[in-house]
Amino acid sequence: MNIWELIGIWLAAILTFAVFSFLYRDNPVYKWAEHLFVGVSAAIGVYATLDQAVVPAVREALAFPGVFKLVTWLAVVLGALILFKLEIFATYLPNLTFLSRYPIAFVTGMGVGLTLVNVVNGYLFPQTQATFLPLFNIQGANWLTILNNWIIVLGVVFALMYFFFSAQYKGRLGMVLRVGITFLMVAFGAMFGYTVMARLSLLIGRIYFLLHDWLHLI
Amino acid sequence: MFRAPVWLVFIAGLFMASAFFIPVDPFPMMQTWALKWDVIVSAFALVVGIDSLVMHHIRRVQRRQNVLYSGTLLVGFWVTIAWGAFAWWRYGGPFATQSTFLWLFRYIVVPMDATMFSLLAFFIASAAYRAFRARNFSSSLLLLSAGIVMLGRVPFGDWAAAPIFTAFALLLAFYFLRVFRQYEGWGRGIRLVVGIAFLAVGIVLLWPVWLNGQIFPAFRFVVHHIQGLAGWIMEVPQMAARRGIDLGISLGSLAFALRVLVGIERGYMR
Amino acid sequence: MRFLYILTTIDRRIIYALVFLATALPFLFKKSPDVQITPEVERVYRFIDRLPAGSRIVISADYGPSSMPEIQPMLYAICKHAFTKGHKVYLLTHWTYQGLIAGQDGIMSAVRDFNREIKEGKHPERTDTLIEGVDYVSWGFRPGGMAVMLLMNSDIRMAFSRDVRGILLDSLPAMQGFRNLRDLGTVENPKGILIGLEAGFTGDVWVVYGQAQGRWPMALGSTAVVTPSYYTYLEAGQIIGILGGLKGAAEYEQLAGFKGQASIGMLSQSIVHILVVVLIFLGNLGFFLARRK
Repeated sequence: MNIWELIGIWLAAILTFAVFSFLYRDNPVYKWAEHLFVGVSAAIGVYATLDQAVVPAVREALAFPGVFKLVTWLAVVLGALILFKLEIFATYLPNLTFLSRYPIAFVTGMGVGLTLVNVVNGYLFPQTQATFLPLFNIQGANWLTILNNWIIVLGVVFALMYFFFSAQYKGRLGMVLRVGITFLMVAFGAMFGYTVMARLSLLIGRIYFLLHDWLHLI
Repeated sequence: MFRAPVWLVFIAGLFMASAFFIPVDPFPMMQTWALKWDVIVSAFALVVGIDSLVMHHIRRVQRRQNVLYSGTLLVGFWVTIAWGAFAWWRYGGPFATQSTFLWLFRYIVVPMDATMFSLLAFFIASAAYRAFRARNFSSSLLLLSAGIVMLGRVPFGDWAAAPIFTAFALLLAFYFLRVFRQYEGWGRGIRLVVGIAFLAVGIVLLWPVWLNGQIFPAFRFVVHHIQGLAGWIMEVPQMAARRGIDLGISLGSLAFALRVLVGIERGYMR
Repeated sequence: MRFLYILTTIDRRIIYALVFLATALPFLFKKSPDVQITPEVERVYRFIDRLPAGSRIVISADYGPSSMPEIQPMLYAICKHAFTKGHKVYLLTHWTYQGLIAGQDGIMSAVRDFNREIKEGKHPERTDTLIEGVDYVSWGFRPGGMAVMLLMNSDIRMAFSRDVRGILLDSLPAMQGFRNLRDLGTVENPKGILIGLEAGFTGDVWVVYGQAQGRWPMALGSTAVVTPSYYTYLEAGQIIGILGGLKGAAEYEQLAGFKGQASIGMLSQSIVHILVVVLIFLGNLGFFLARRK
């Protein structure tokens, strides 16, 4: 391990403890570390955007021959119009800010068009089709499979009805909504369990770094 | 003022949606190039995102809210900019594999980003302790589902699940058998029955009957099946409710997309 | 009763300390417990295991530093498994530079370890080490999300004309015969698989915009926060399996035959889960003991 890696690991450990100090209470060390993080990550974000997004985009435009080069250059020009939204242009050239609406409109339009077809094709159809499950013992299927199918079909229908019908919990519709809530509570409980698992895994990752990479205890 | 961009949204959206249904040249090629345009324009949109983030912090610094913190932010920002420029000149790009610029990412951004998120582990444990209560049937169901999934998805969780569920059953039995007398009619009857049921569950789980050569058979039954039960919860009821929620969300997003397409929604332009 | 009351009003800083100890102390035992393999992880492992040698494993590294503890071990285990079976690995990301660096780091550590194992003679069927461009390719990052996925269904080179080093894809041996994602085959007749390693909504975008159009085999590896939502795709047959959270990574490591970073963390995960459930119980203990009606 070279000296830069060693310095880096120690800096990382110090910053880790600086953030952990927030658990005791908000303090200057934590605030200092937070500001350092924001400054560095904002600057890395600037380079990432330029190096990973803009430069490849312009390079792709140059790569195509003939009429396609013109087509992609037009895309670069359209994209560059959005730069009129930047603070520096908004301050000195406020009359031209309206030009930034065109690339936004283009990307929005593209997104909307893609959404309209693909949400139906990629989500609604397959998911609805998968909900059409056999509810009766037609081909000698296992009783547990049939029970599961009933639970799935009823669960999907009742959960969907819960969101669509903002009605009072009275009568038959009220009973349906209550069953819907029951399914939703089971789902939210499972989601909570998995969220706890995820957050604890992050802590495990940090402590592994401290014990393995920094202190070499494990 | 908004008219031309709204027309652009309509034309772009209509073209993209209809191109899927017209597999006749030149539509597929036009669709491919439109997607290429989308990728190139999105790259520039990222620049605006970064700009607003950076300018927000620089403005805070200019307002001199706190010199030490603002100074740290600016120093971190400009040192990184300078280092990146050097790496671009020396290695051809700040993110090239041999570049030293990644040192900043690996030893400042990664540890801090990861540690800030890991604070949530502490907060979620503390919040679960202070606020997660089985106040009514719905929240009890939430609690049961969360407990089964949390314990059923980890090794040794099955061994811990049986005593914890026994303790919970006995606690609820204690509560219901204490308060049922304060109710009248159906309320009293239901609470008495529920209290006795929980007591029965607790006793059965603790019963040291010798069955099939095993002691504590009900306890072992829970231990053996809790992982399977957690899997069943994820695959059946959770999946069903989630599908119901997501179907609702996708129908909503379709409706929103239609509204944007025809120009009713214009919030994206502000 | 007073003791019970104390148990139910523990100061939050003591809880933080308990959580920290419950996470840190199990590491010192240096034990990696066996985990029960779930069908959704086993399906992914068997699928990759049964692919013909030389198949294409496309990995979309759509995560950042905050998800690395869970997803990085998955990436490492999948890459090691793929290299052992002689498959080629292709990396891309929709998560800007964070996903790119995280993905590159993961794939490079798998390459380094596999090359070391080749030199130690652990893989007698291979004589030469892994080479970038021949055995694995990193395509890099492109903004646009759904647009990139749809482009890749018709022609990968329209989205990525060069790899992350700037070399034309057409000049790379690993890209020969790999025109678009439909070259991954189908679930019935597979020639590869796309595995999305997800920390946010990009998993849904991959399934809805990518897989639904191309119908190629797909699996998802995700942080535990978004894992529950992917069971709907699993049941509908849109994906073949899910690796959920640190547990999913540990299961894959166990199936692949080694104990990596995920397996080491599972003992801590168990202990701290038990602690959280016990804390919830203690909170409810106080609530029910004090509740009169």
